[in-house]
This record gives sequence, C-alpha cells and structure tokens, in this order.
Amino acid sequence: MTEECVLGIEAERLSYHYRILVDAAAELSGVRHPHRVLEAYLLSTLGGVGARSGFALLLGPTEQSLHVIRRPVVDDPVLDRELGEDLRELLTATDRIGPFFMRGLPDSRVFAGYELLVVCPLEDGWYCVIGLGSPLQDGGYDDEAHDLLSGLAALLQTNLRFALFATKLEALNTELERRTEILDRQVYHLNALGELGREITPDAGMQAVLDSMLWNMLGYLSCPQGLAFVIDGSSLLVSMKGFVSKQPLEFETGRALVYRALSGLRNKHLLPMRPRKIKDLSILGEINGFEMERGYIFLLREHCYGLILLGPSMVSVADNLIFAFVFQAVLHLKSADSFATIATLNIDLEEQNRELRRTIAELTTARARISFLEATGKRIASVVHQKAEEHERVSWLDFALIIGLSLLLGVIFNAQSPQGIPLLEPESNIAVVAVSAVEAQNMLRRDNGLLIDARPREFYEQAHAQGALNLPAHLFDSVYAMQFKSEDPARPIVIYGRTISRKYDLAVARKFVARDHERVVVVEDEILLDTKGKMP
Amino acid sequence: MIRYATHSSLALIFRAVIASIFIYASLHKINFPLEFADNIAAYQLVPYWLVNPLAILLPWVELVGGTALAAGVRVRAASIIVGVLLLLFTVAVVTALLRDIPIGCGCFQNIGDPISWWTVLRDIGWLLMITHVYRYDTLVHLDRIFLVKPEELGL
Repeated sequence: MTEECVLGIEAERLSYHYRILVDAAAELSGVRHPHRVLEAYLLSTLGGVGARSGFALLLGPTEQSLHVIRRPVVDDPVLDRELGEDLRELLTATDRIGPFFMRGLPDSRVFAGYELLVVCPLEDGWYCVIGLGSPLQDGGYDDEAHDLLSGLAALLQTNLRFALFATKLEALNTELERRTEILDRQVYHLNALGELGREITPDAGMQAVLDSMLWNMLGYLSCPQGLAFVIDGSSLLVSMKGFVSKQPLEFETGRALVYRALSGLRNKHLLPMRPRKIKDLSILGEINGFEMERGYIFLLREHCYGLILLGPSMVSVADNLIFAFVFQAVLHLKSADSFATIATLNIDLEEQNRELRRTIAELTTARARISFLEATGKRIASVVHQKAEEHERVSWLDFALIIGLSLLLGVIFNAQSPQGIPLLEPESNIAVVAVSAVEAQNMLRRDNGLLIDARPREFYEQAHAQGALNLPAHLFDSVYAMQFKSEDPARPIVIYGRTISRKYDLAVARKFVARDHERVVVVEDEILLDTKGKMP
Repeated sequence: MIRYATHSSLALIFRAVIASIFIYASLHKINFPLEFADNIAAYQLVPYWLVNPLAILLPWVELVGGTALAAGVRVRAASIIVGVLLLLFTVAVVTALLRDIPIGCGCFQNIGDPISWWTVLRDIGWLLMITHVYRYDTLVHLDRIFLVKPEELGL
C-alpha cells in the first residue's frame, strides 16, 4: 500500500471519526437529561466503534443513584444493581479526573461479555461508565477505536456534567418552587391569622369573638362545618356553622363533650391558654350528624373550658397551621374574657369610686360638723370655766343671802317664840328723875337715902360704891320681896349702874317707881367705884 | 408636809368641825335670846339700842353660816362670815380681858365658862381653821353637784 493510499485511508478515518464526533455532539446538543445523554452516547459509541453490545451506566455516590442502559435491551434490575456495586468497588480507589479505559473483568459475572470499559469521572462522586462488548471486526479494539472512544468520552464527560448540572439545577428549581409554594401558603395563612386578629376585637364580647373566630377559621381552612363553644360552671357560649339542624347546643351536652374530650387526653391536666388536640374524635360521640375531622380543647381560666371542632377541610392544611389558628383563637377568646372581667371590675370600681366620693363628702361634712362642735365645745368649756370661776368667787350676793336669810329667820322666829325679845327697848311711861352725883350724895347724907347698884352681880362684886346694895333688874322681884318690901316709900332711893350697852339703873328705878316709891332717882353722872365699896 | 397641811381633805375636816361648833353654839342662843342679849351687853361694846337686834341676828347668822359650811353651799362666803364672827368674838374677848370685865364667854351656854386667854387662843385656832377652809376647801360642795366641771368636758 502506497503512502498516499495510507494517508488517504488515514484521512478518511479521521474524517469518519470527526463526523461521528460531530454527529454525536449534534445529537447530544440540547439534551438535558442524563439518561438521554447516556442513551444517545451509547448508540453513537456502539455505532462508532462497531461494538456488538454495550451499556452505559451513571453511578452516583448512593446506592439509589444508579442508571443503566443496555443495548441490546436487557431488563434485569438485579443485574444492574450488581453491576453498579462492582463498579463502585472498582472506582472508589481511583482519584483520576479525566476519562480512562479499563479492560473487561473476565472474573465478574456481570461484566462477562464486555471487553472495554470507558470511565468518565464526574463531580461529587458521580461516574459514567461505558461498557463495550466485542467489536464486529475481529481483533478487538485498536488504537484508532481508543482514540475515537477518548474523544467520545470527553464529549460524554462534558455533556454529562452539563446534564447533571442541569438536572441538579432543575431539582433545585423544583425545590425552590415547592418551598415558594409552601411559603406562599404560609404567608396566606399568616395573612389569614392577621385578618382574624384584625376582625376580632376583644371589646365586642365573647359571643362575637367566638362567631368571628369560627367563621374565619372555616373560611380560610375551607371547612364547611364547624362548632366552637366555651363553657364554665354556669354559662355556655356556642357558635355553630354548617349544621342542617338549627337546634342549639344545650348546656349539659356541652359539659358532657368537655368531659369526654378530657377523658380522651392522656394528660388530663390542661394548662390555661394551651390548646390540646383531641386525637380520638370518636370519643365525643355524634353531634347532629357533624362529621368531625379535627378537634381541640382548651382551658381559658379555672373551670372555663372550650372546644373547637372542625369538619373536613377541602384543602390540605398542615396541622401546625391549624393549631396556630386555634392558638390564636384561644388568645382572642382569653382577651375577650379578660376584657369582660376588666369591664366588670371597672363597673365595680366605678361604683366603689362613687361610694368613695360619697364617703369623702360625708367625711367632709362630718369634719365641718366636728369643727363646729369643737368650736361649740370650746365655747361651752369657756362658759363653764367662766361659770366655775364665778362660782369660786365670793360675791356680795352670797353675803346678802346669808345675812338676809339669817335676819329673816331670826325676826320671824323671835316674833313667834315665847322667849322672844323686842328689837328695840319699848319706851316706858314711867318717868324717873335723874340727878347729878352731887345731888345724889346729898340725898343719901341728908335724907338717909338708899343706894342701889343695879348692875349684875359680877360687876357689883368686882367694884361698887360704898354702901350700895346690889339689886340686878332680873332679880328685882325676889330680892325686893326679901329686903325692900317693908321699906318706907318716902325714903329716897338713889340708883346707879349704867353702861353703853345697858341702862340697868333706869330699869331698876322704874321697878321701884312701879312699887310706889316716891323719891326714886338715877345718877346721870358716872360714879367712880372701887373695890372697897366707897363713894369717891 | 406642806402638801398634807394644804390638802382639801383637811379643809373638809376643819369645815365640819367649825360648822358643828357654830350650829351647836347657835341653838341655845336662838332659844334664849334675852340671855344672849345680856351677854352681849356685858361686853359693853355695842350701844344699848343695838344689843337686842344683835342678840336676834347673830345666833341665826351662826346657824345659817354653820349650815352652809356643813352642806357645802357658798362655802367661801360662809367661811368669810364665820371668820368675821370669830374675829369679832376674839376682839371682844380680848378687850374684855384687857378691861378686866368679869363676864362669861357666852359662846355656848350663858352660865359659867368665864373668858380667859385660853378662850382667845381657842378662837384664834378656830379662826385659822376657817381660814384654811376658805383657802383650800374644794370637796363635797352641795352647790357644785349639778355644776359641770371643766375637766369633765374633756375640752
């Protein structure tokens, strides 16, 4: 064979290889899925090198990541899995990054009939292995076939990398879409929760909150039927929707439902504001043909329970989302309940405030009254002090009263008493002659007169004139009878004894005159007396 | 000591003593005014026209004054009156003693009981007692039973 002929054959062969590569590239162009790439590449390779049979295998890092295409077609998954396991054992030890060839494995059952393996390492533990059976021409695969296979392997490696990347990207897109959908749904439900919160105002009352809550939940969850109620020891608030029968839920029925729901809970102790899901709804029994799909029980406060029962939802909603609805609803109910309690307390507080204001007003009035009474008391005390001081003081009225009373009693008693005496000595009509001491002395000497001392005995005994006889007035009658009865009435009788307080002489002289004595005189001058009884 | 000497209880005792003396002394004089008039005249201190009025009035003043002291009515005025009477009696006895007038006291009975300086001392003692009554007596006053005391008001 001439050199030109050889060059011609070589050129033709190269042209052939080029066309195969171009065809393969054209066929692989636009193919995104790895198994399509494998299939296209396997056919191009088998045709290009003239192999009788072959397989293309895409092997991933996990057992599940295995894709095998055989030509002619052999549908034997077990054999494919064994093929994958054997290849994984072979390729684990290698760290090559470019395509390489491996001879067939005559000892391997699964590789029986395959002479050449073309291995294309990919990223992330992926490998692509092309197995070729015996060629159509004898002699096996020569160098030219290896060159062609090398070119095809490079092309395959590039395409598979691209396909795997596209697949991965597609998977990421799919995951992103799925997550976006979930996120949208969550945003939707969060909006629903927000709407629920905006629609429910705690000051509307428990019943309104209960109705609004149930209707919102049913609307957003696409539930045609639902029941919610709150019950305490004495009252029941019910909200029902979607029931054919309009018969209201009775108090005893509500209480029985709560008891049944509690009995179905593993932990019977409910915490306030912590709703619990009722797992076994059959325990609640039948309620007006209500087909329950979900049920929740909660405790608002002590002895105040609530149930939320929902029918089947027409859309798929996650349990935790519904639970968020329920939790939100319980929060609103608790707010409404607290608001009602606060409103009641406010009413009581207002009443107490009014009472307090009244009390303060009364206290103010009382304080004013007390101030007035204190002022009055001080005034009274002042008057009492004044009166007490006046009482302590001695007044002329007291003297006048005592003296006047004494005088009055004395005068009256003296007037009525047989021992009474006259206030003043009565004037006597018996005249008595008064003479001087000289004349009296002459009468005594010349006419042998009788000298009488009229003073009381004590005075007489102390001192008296010489020759005088004592004749006190109060003893006159007895003494006169004893001593002077026989006396001559013509004999002069001279009488003395006068003091500032008593006219003893005059009293005795009148008694002598009364006894018919003719010459009775009293001495008007003071007579000096001595103990010797002599006249001066 | 001063505290006990000025105690109102002592004044009450003095008041009772003086009241008893005066009431007792007045009874005989009231019943026998003539004798009392002679006693007054014996002192030779008052003019003759005043002897009988005094003999009528003085025993009753003694009785009313003594009763007022005993009952606790207008005690200070009564004690002044009784004190004045005691002062007059003392002065009368002293002058009689100085003038050496031989008379009886005439304080209770008209017979006996001649005056002496002991009589003066006795009268001075009574005078001090009635002065104590005037100064410190605050207990058992009949005219204050219905009188509100300032301390009872609590103001």
